[in-house]
Amino acid sequence: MTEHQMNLIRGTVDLLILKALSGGERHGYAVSEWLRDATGGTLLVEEGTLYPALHRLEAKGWVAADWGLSENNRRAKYYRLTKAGAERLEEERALWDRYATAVEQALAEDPAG
Amino acid sequence: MSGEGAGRNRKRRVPRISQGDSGLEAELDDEVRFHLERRAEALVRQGWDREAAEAEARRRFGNVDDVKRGMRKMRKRKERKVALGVWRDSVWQDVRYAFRMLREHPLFAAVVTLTLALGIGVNTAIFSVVDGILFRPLPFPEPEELVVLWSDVTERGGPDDEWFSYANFRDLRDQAATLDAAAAWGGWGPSWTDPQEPQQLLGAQVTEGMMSEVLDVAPGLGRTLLAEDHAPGAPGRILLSHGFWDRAFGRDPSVLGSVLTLMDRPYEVVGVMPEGFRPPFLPNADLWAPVSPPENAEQGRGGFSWRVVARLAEGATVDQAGAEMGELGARLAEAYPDSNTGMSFRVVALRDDMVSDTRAGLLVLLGAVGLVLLVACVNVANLLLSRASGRIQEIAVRSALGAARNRIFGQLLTESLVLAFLGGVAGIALAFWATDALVALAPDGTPRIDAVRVDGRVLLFTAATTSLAGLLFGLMPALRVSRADLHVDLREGGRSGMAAGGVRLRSALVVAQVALAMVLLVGAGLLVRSFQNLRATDLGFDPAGVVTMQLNLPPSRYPDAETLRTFTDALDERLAAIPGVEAAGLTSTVPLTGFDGDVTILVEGRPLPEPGDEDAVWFRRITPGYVEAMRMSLADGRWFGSADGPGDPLVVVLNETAAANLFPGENPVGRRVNVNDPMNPVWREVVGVARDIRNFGIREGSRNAMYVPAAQSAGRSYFPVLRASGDPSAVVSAVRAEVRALDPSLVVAQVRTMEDIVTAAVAPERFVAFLLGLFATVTLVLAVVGLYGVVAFDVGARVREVGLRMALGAEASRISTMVVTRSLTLVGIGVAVGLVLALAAGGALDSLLFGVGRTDPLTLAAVACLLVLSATVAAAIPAVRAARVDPAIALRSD
Repeated sequence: MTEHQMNLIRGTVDLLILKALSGGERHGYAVSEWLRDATGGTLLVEEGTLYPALHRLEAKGWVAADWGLSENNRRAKYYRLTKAGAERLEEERALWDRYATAVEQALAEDPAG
Repeated sequence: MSGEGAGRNRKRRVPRISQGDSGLEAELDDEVRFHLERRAEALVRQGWDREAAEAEARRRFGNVDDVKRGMRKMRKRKERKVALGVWRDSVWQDVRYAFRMLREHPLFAAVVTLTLALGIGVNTAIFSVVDGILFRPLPFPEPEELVVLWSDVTERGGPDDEWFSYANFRDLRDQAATLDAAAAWGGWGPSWTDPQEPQQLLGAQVTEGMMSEVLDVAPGLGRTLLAEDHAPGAPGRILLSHGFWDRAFGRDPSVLGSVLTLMDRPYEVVGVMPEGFRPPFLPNADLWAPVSPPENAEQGRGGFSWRVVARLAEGATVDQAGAEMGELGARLAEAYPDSNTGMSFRVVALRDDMVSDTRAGLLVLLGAVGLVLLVACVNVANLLLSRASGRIQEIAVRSALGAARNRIFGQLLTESLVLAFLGGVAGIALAFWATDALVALAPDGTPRIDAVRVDGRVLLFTAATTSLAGLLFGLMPALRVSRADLHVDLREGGRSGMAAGGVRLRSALVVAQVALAMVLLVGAGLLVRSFQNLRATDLGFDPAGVVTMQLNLPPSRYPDAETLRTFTDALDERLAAIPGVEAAGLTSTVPLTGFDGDVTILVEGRPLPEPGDEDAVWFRRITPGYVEAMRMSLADGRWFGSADGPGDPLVVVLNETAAANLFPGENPVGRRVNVNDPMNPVWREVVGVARDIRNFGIREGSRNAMYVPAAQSAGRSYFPVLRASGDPSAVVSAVRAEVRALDPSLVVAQVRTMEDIVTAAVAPERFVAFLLGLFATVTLVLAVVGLYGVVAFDVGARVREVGLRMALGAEASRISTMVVTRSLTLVGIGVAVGLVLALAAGGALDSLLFGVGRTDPLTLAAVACLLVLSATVAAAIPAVRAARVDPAIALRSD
């Protein structure tokens, strides 16, 4: 399992959290669960690192948060994407696409040629 | 809390309870705990043992403290942002609200804006002038290193700003360690005879290094002056000023290398100085010529014909240079006792030297506009207070509806700042215009007036002044209203409590206003009286109807005394014969226009004085017609006549001062004196004593002076002076024609009426007196308007009281008297306070006053009367209205 673990680049955490919330509001635990499922368990992080990231996104105004009751009636903090956050997600996504394409393209090239 | 979406079915809202730091910690705990519990539960469901599941959950979470620290940091960031946003929103809201209020009260807005625009406008304009002249660095590299040197001969009873002999200048330049470079210059007014109509040019002769090392400015075109140009016997070379190049050559670059004929000598143009180059001396010079060291420098060590500009060595201060000059002066006095005894040297920063005569007046004006703005602010504060009283109910309601006191305060202050901003913008517009007007109005020769402009520096000052003004007039009303006891006000409809207290405060403001106006009016009064005294001074000659002009006779065409005399005799005769001329003559200098320098004088039969103890006397060469044209009078003896020709016994006329100083208790007439040459005693008999005239400036007392007939002492620079029976300028063309008939290559320059010269001599005083008078008038108007406002408001607030009194039988006249008395009491206090302030501030004026002391009772009494009179008028209008109050209506109105 350890050989599949990768550390997430900070910008990527933001992108993935925004993506996680684009499906509707979630608490932190749900975000970590989605993250694990969506990456097939590949991108495992220390789950705690999500929280400062969530708060950072909140400070930037990309996500909003308030307290609610969870499925099993416990107090939980819910995060949701703001309009600015949705826009940000699009930007980050486009950026990621360009980045990934560029890296892939480079890897496909034959360095000897 | 809008935009609830997908989570709605999964989540129910709970009220947010947490606040503050402990609340924040609890929230973080809750959030983390929730995660750990959920993870542990999930693991238990997967078959983990409870305890192991909890441990695994913590392991997967990572360090809880680190996570919390990160969360806390982000949280703080967010809170700051939110606070800023709230603040920004509320400020924006206040600003919008303020603009709305002003739109609803356009008259109020206009009056306040205009008042402030006036105050801020004059401040900006005067500051731009003061900044340009006093504060801005000179337009030279390292300008703070530039200094001026002076010979100080106060020890011998002479001035402390005497010029230099070449020998003394050279020795200081060569020996001073605190000076990096020094150069001397002398005025040079050559006639340029190449054009059809010969022109008189204005220029300076400079010693080596003036442009390249001292001023450190390279020509915009061509080359600077080199050492070889200053070598003895070097061909004539000149640098042109940009202005002259533009005017005379249309900026043609091919002027380089061309030759100008100046005073019949050829000069090659080697360079053109850049645009905007204005040397500290003669800023309007047309050209500069290199001068080589005089051959007989050592013999002329006692003379004063050069002025010196220097650049301090790196790190040297003006004081250090001054100390060194003192030492060098003492050393030179020891080495050359004949010429240097009692002479030392001073160093003055160039900028200080240039503006020394202008500084006092400018600072007085700057202070005066400060007072104008203060009075304007007080007026606006008064207006705001009276309006605040009217708004007290609105504010009470807002307060009752939950508006925090500091929000109300903030909103009121915002209104004031918005008003200040509007006033500032209008003031800047006014200032652009006013600054141009000031520059146009400034006396000719005001130093550095070309550096005056409204730019970023000045606008920064305006912005600061405006903000300060906004706080000044806004704080008091805002504090007062936001602290008022609003419950009482709400109940009573905002009439009684607030209004009475407001009147007290506003009365204090009126007192302040009257006091400030008093200070300005006293200052203006004193300066106007000084100016009148200057104008009324007996000059010792009669300037009305006299016109003067200048002629220079070049050595090439007038090589000796004989040719010079032939010309002056012929010209003298021709001038007197011009129709419409009552009298005409020639003089070597015109009063009030500058100096030639003094000469030393010996009295026959007395032992030779010690070096440095010689009497100095101002030397003037005249033809007999000059005395008539100027209507100068005689105290004793006679003037010269046609009998005092070149072959006749040599004669001289002394002025009263010289007669008293040289012949104390004796009659000088019939005695003989010798001028400037103990080795070659040419004795002249004193034939008369002339009354003193104001020669060096109207403020300055007389100095020793002597008049010598031009026929017995040839000179090559003369001013024809003519008294016309009609308009003096009408005879100028006739003078030109006569001069042309005698010698077509001569230039008649500097045509000025004597009246103009006298006016120019008092122009700085008139400038300051006029502006101070203007500012004082503005302040008086503001103060009177302020007083009127307060009295009118007071009467309005007391309508009920007045009505009651009248219903109880008080007579209308007594009501008016009561109102007027009340306002005169305020004015009386204001005048008293103003008197104290005026006496305290009067010191600033001392150097500007002439023939009047700063405690001049007449001025003080006149100003006090003016204020009381204006105040009575201001109070009378509301007083009359008060007397017309209908008791029935007044009593019903509450």
